[in-house]
Amino acid sequence: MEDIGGSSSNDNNNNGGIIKEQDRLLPIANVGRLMKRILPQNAKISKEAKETMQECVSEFISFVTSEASEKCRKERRKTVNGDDICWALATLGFDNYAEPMRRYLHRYREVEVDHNKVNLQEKGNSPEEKDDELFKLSNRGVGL
Amino acid sequence: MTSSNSPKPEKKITKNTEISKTQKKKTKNAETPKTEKKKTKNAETPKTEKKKTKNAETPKTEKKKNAEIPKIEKKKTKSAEIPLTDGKTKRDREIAKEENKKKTKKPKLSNGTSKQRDEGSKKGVAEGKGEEGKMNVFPMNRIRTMIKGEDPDMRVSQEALLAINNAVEKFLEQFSQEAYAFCVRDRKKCLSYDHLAHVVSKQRRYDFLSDFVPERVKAEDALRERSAAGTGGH
Repeated sequence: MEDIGGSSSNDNNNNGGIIKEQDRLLPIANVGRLMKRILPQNAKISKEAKETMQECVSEFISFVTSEASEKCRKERRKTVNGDDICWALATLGFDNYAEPMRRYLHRYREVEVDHNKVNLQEKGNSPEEKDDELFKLSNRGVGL
Repeated sequence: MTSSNSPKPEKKITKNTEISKTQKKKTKNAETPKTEKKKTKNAETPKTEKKKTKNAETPKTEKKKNAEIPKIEKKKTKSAEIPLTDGKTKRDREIAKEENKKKTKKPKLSNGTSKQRDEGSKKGVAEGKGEEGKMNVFPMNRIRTMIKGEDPDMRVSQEALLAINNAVEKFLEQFSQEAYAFCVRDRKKCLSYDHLAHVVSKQRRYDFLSDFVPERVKAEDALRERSAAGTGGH
């Protein structure tokens, strides 16, 4: 565990951005809760396993995001979107994730369209680009 | 109970039959006396029976956990045991009555815990169906922060964050299930680091985790490898 911490801190230094140790990983409570939910009721999970899963999940996010980011860079795009994530998952061997993910994104976009309609009726504005729409949504902190 | 020699061998016989039949009701009745509890602990029973024994081994846990269900089952088993031996059934009845009194004292706690469990099971069912309309499990800002740390120049859309959140959830579920399969194979109670490491070493899709979760090796083996590779290496 110590080695992992050391290596990650080096990575952070290389990036130049200072990231709090607490923010480097997803919360262990969420990780533990989800593990308990998926396993049988009598299963026990050691604290070490939860901490290891935290590391694995963080590495998974970096792994997928790097692949998607690389694809966007090659295509001269500046924003990573959901399709890029699906593509990255399929490329990296998580094929069984890609199809449910597309359905998930499809439903999300339906909700987004409805949400935009409501906003347009209220404000009377017409968005010019999709990126701007997404940017505004992210600023508003819209979440399902 | 312990003073009389005759009832002991008969109880043993009943235990063997109960284990072979794997009937919930009888095992619970057999486990109530202390001596029998100890024996059941030592015996190597299948996992399902282990669950039952765990519930029955300590009366305190029985009180706190679902107390209503075993009451009903015990009542049924009592009637079943009557034709076998009258003397034993009387004693069991007395013990059961005492336990029932104790249990009735704490109905609220058991109700609370049972509700929580039911909710958990429902969620599990929902996941099985593939419904994805739930709230995201992990905080979005945290994921955004992690991604920004990875590549500050790249912008990430809201839908990409949602996609990653969803993918992480699936990844964690699948990884946990596969690790638990090894946990079961080893007949361990607690999911531990070794089971996660074993999943990583066995499946190629988890190669990206091999540096983070190496399998644990004994010092002797590590030293042998080092000596075999030669001192000129790392």
